[in-house]
Amino acid sequence: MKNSSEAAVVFQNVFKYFERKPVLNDLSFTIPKNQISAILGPNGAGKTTSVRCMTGLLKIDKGKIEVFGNDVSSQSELIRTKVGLVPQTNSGYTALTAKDNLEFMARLYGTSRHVSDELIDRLTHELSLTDRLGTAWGKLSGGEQRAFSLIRAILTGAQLLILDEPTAGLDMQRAHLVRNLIKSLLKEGKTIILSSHIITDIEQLSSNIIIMKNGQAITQGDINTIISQFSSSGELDDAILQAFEAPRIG
Amino acid sequence: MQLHTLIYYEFKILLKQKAFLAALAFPMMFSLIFSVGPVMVLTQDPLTLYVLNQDVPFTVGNNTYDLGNQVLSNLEKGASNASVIIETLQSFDEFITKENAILLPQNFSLVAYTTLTAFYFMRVSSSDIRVETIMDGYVNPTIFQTMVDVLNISRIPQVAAQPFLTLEEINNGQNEQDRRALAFPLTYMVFLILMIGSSFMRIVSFTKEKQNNMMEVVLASVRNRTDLIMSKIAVGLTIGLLIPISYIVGVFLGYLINRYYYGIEFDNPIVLPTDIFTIPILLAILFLFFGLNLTTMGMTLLSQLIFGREVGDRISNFLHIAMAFVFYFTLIADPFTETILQILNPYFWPYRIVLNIIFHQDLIKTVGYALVFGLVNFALIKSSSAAIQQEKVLFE
Repeated sequence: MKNSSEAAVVFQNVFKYFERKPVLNDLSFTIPKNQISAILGPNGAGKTTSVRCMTGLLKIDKGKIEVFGNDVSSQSELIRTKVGLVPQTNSGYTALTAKDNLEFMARLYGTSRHVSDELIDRLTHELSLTDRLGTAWGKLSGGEQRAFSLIRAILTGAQLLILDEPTAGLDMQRAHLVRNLIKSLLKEGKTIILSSHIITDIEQLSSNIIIMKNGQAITQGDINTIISQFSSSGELDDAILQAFEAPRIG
Repeated sequence: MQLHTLIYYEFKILLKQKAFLAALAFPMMFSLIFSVGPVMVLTQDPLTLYVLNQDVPFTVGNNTYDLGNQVLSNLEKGASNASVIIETLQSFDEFITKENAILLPQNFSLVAYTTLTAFYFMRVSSSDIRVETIMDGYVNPTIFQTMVDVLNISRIPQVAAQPFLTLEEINNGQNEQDRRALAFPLTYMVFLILMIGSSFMRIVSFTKEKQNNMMEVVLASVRNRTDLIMSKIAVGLTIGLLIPISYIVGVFLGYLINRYYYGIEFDNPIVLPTDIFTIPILLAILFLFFGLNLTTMGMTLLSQLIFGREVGDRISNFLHIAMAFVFYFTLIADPFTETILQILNPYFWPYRIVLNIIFHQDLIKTVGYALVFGLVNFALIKSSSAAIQQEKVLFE
């Protein structure tokens, strides 16, 4: 485990039960600062639950989670100022335009109109969405909503961004633009947690991979470590599939 | 800071919803239709006016004065122009059972000749709103002109009518009538607006966050969850006050249309009477709806947060409708009644506080109701703030 001053997020022996069934079962891992970490796992592994516990949306039953050194259980209000979220499902107020949805989040985090206007102009330009700003959220395609959700999370100014399937539903060209944008966020000192089933996202973006199964982290390391541990073919997708079948390591 | 942003965007989203604008116009349309509708329907057919002529002619010198028969004859002559049918009655027993009837007494001619005042009795109906207009605009001028023509007088005569009331009607008392004139339409207004308002409160509550999958984003972004509850309540209360204002605007529009288009001053007994509108009463009515909407909003939020959106909506909807029905149908016969069913109904408390204040009744009970009302609503807000921390909020 990394020193907590170098870690953005630390899970220590975390348990979370839903109706007496453990969804997180003695989960421990560390997310380093200023890196892109991917949390992977089969359906039901506990990825979304661990993200929700990280943001204080769900209360853990046992263990400890720290975000930038702050205990999530006792300092959830503070944590919410440090975390920006792109949730698994497309979300936005359908009655408002895309721009209204973006401005709502910027205002909520106290970003001034001047700063948010500049950011919105730059980010929508980078993702080729400028001409869609005035469109009602409900009339955007799923891919456009996804891309706007990423911009909305960036507008929070949060140091930790949690991106759940950020390129799902995007065409190849826009997915490429989104990946570039995510990489550029590292230069601004952000820490990014990625949950994705898209192997290209993981290969091109992640420097740290956590593989979860049955509410536990079965392994954690960089891409080469994961490949060397689980794949004889040297392919990342093969290594991930093998890892999903493997028992907990360490 | 976040509360300000939440309230601003709550309003922004609301104003984009067509249902909001439609529902805002709805109370106004209701009160307008109830004000103008009866006038429109009734003015299609002529009004039947019954006349009992008991006048006994008398003679002075060579002249015999038969003013009663002359008045009756002139009323019949001009009847078609005034959209009136004149029917003659034969006995006092008939007169006392009729509505829209006039009685020319035995000494009608004598009194008119000696005092230059034509004095008669009238029974006006509460169901036909045109009768007072017919009295002022047709009967009295006809009597006046007949006096001028028949009596050969040198100064301006007077026409005076006295309402003919039975003992029972007198015993009911004017004061009680005044009280009911406000209380009865107020119960109806409360019922109608609660029925409209409860669906409104669901629009304002967490429905849109749930439908738009925004619950997770909003909960992850708003630091103080009580701000979320307060923003919903602030917007709900504002809208809750716009609904009765819309209703009152409808009452005034109806009054203006009746007054200036149909020439009739009419207050439908189920619509708030315009003559009791004073600033204190209007403020009291707005306070009443502030209270009702606070309770409605608190119950909607709490049930949505505890039971999830679908179940919560059904529960709160059932509660609102049940409480509104109990409120209205236990008060419809007597708006001042106070039974255990009403005392247990949170919608009754602000209603009773307002009535007691307007009619200066029972200070101790008023304070009691105010305390219970305040405590229950405080508990609803606190419980909602606590309930929003529950995991159910995310998943249901």
